[in-house]
Amino acid sequence: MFLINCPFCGERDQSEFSSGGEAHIVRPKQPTELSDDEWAEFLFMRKNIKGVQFERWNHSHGCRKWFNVVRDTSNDKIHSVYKMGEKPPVK
Amino acid sequence: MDLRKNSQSEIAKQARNLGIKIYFNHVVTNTFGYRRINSVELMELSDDGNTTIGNKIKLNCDCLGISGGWTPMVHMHTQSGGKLDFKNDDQVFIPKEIDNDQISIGACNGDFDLETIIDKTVNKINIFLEINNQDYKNTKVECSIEKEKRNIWLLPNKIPLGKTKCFIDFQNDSTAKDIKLALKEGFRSIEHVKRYTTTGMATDQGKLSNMHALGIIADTAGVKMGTLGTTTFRPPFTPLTFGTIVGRNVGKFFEVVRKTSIHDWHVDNKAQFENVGQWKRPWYYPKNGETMHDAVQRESKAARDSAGILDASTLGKIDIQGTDASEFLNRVYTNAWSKLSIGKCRYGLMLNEDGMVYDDGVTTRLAENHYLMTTTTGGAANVLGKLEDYLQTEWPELDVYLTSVTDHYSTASVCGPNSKKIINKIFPELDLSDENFPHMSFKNTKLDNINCRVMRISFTGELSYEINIESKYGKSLWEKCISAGQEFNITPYGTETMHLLRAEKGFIIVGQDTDGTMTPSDLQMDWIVSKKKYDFIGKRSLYRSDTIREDRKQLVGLLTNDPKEILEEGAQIVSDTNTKPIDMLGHVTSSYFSPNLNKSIALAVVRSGKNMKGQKLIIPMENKNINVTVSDTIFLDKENKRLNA
Amino acid sequence: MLNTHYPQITDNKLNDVEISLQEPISKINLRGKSKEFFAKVGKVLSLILPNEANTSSFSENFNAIWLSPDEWMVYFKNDDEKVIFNKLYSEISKVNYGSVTDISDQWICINLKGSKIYDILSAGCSFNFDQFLKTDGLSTQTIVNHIDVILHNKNTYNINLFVRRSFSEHLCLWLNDSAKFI
Ligand SMILES: [Zn+2]
Repeated sequence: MFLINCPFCGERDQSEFSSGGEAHIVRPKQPTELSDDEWAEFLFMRKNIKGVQFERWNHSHGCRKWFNVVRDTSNDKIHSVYKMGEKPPVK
Repeated sequence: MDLRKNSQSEIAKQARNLGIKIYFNHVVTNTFGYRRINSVELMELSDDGNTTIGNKIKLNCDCLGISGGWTPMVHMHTQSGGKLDFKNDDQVFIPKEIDNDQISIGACNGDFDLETIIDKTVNKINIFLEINNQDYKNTKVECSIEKEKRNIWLLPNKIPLGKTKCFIDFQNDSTAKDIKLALKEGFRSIEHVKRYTTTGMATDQGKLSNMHALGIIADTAGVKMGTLGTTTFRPPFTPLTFGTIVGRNVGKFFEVVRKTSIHDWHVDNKAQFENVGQWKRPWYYPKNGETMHDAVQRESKAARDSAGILDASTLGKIDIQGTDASEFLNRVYTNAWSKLSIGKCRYGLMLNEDGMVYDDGVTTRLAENHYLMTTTTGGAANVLGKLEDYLQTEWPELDVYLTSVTDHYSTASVCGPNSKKIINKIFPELDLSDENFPHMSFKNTKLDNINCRVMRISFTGELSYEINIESKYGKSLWEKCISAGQEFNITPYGTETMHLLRAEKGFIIVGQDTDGTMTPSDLQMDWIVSKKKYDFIGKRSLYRSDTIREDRKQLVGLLTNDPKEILEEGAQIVSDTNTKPIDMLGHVTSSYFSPNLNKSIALAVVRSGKNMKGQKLIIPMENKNINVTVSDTIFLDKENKRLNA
Repeated sequence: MLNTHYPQITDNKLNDVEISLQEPISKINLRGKSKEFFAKVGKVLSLILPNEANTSSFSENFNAIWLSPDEWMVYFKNDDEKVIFNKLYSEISKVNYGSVTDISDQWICINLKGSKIYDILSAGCSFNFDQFLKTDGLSTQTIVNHIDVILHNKNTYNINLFVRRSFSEHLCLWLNDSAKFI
């Protein structure tokens, strides 16, 4: 269990949020132009990092907004939180 | 007894002054008594501590207390990701300094005397908080310090290890012998030795035993303590009662319960309930001691012969507004939405990006830029979350707003050949002619000046109307339907009958006939996938090499050769029982006895099933093989005549 | 005539916690971002929608709770004829300034009063009420006993709790049960 600082509502318990996996994977604008391999890259391939990871979270039991979190998966330490569309912080 | 050679500490002095004899450099070598201890035997230790010397001394006693020295409680440190160092002087594990928002101070950091603790604590806190507090700088504490140390993990004993028991874990009764056996068996990792011997797996989670176990392993294997590592320090630190964890979530509070506005009527009318997600839904309404089978057969027949009524309030409902609402639906459903005219309804199928069926439901166009989407009961929250995800992250340029209205509306669904007469009684002003009010359309109307939305849509294949009304009027509306339908023997039916009726028509239930591995094509629903649309969620996945395989599992109908035989849902399907191992082709997903067709019907997923119509297959059960024939998925009214009956 | 039925929530007073049903109350969900959206809401409700998270605003007849940067819930005493809703819908949704959705029966309003109300809520809620209970008008969305709620601090130890209708009876049973142990 840990606290997440929703960029809209402030600090809340993790139970109010749901996790959406790795961040900054953009859905291709023209999926039909892609080969099977290219589409599979988007669809299936995730880094699954042990350590600092950029990921998506949704404040599903609060403002329902999606945002990005930089979290160390090995100790749940959250380094920063930023809104969708904002530039990710440099490591 | 004290295995150290001497001690100058205050407590030792006081004991001497009180005339208490301390046997320094001695260890207990044996105990005596039956059912309870009555004496112990002790011997002096050799200089190196490897053996005992001198004469045995026997002392009478009532009990024997033991102490293994201090072990820092490093749990908090390691649970927040910290690693450990081994401090050779004290033979203890201590927290390794980490760059994290935490510090360990006091005994949990391996500091056991008060003066050091105060000193270090002030220092560490000053650094940690970036302050400079000098209040305790010159605190002098008078306390006795134990300077003499001696550590022996397994005390020497002349009795062979097998003849006596040196307990390590006092709860799980594992002994030094067990640990040595584990090492002999080839276990090296501390985690493996733990599981082989169960040392440290009792409710104290090794607080009494782990250090000894590690020490014995290190000594026996001839390695250094610090290099062995430790097992994982898991929470909770102390055993908890289940009550502490679950709180008041017991009895009727065990699980959250959702009820429709019509719930009390169902209770009054003896409904048996089924849990659908958190909802309590009427399952069937037994009359006069009917079995479930009897009740469902009666309800199913009534719905097709005259009229049935279902509480459909639990379906998820999402209000969609915005100038891009049509475009949004085009992107989330497999079929096209732009041409749906206002006042009309359309069935939609939603996929995951991997091309697998995710949810389905009817969406209605209320106004130019205003739709009402329905989702499955169980999928409501997830669908809304997924749609918000796409709007906020992939398509922020779309002007679309979503609002959940699941609880705002209650829905009574009236079906059957007499449903039109019943609706006409309730809404005499409403023109129910097919020209004015065709299948897949809706009308806004009023009942006693209260807004109602009547939709002509059908999940049973019968002529059918769904009335939506604000939930505070849900129960009253339902009662009105029941009394208007009385002369037509309107029969309330539950989810079981609903499932049976839709199976007769071959309509799928997402989550029952699908399991996250079925594409629209697997379900023989290619008709609902638009060929023209450039893109929608999951489209690209529909022609991956795996999704276009001919031998995927596909939805088919099954008819038993004996029409009375009802298949078991989940039963495996094979074509040949002689070749071993038997090749599994698929399984039964839905199975019922249809009172309207007077035979057993089933839906199943079967490898390459699409092209197997008419083929004989076998369902091997415990005591017999059931012979079945692959059929169409639609068992009743293929021409949809009943919709306009 | 159609009768109204509200969830069975009996008013209760136990250990200085008063629980009472506040229906009928009209509720409208508003969503939008444009200048015109805010202007129209202001015009119809004589109210400025709060743009600060976890706050609310009010005018003579209306309360508006912040739900997200582009979403608010307005609640007010009963509007049977849907006059306010229809007005908002035609001035905002119809002309594509935002969305207006009637959610009067989506949420049930329950009033909690008394010095121990935060003790009961905290028995099933991880929200930190330190600031919330000190400031009139603060609002929040959170989870109480696994159920989504919207809380609105009216004034000292007097809050309106909004819960989805289908969950309301269960939540109230739980609140009453928890009140026994405070
Ligand atoms: Zn939030």
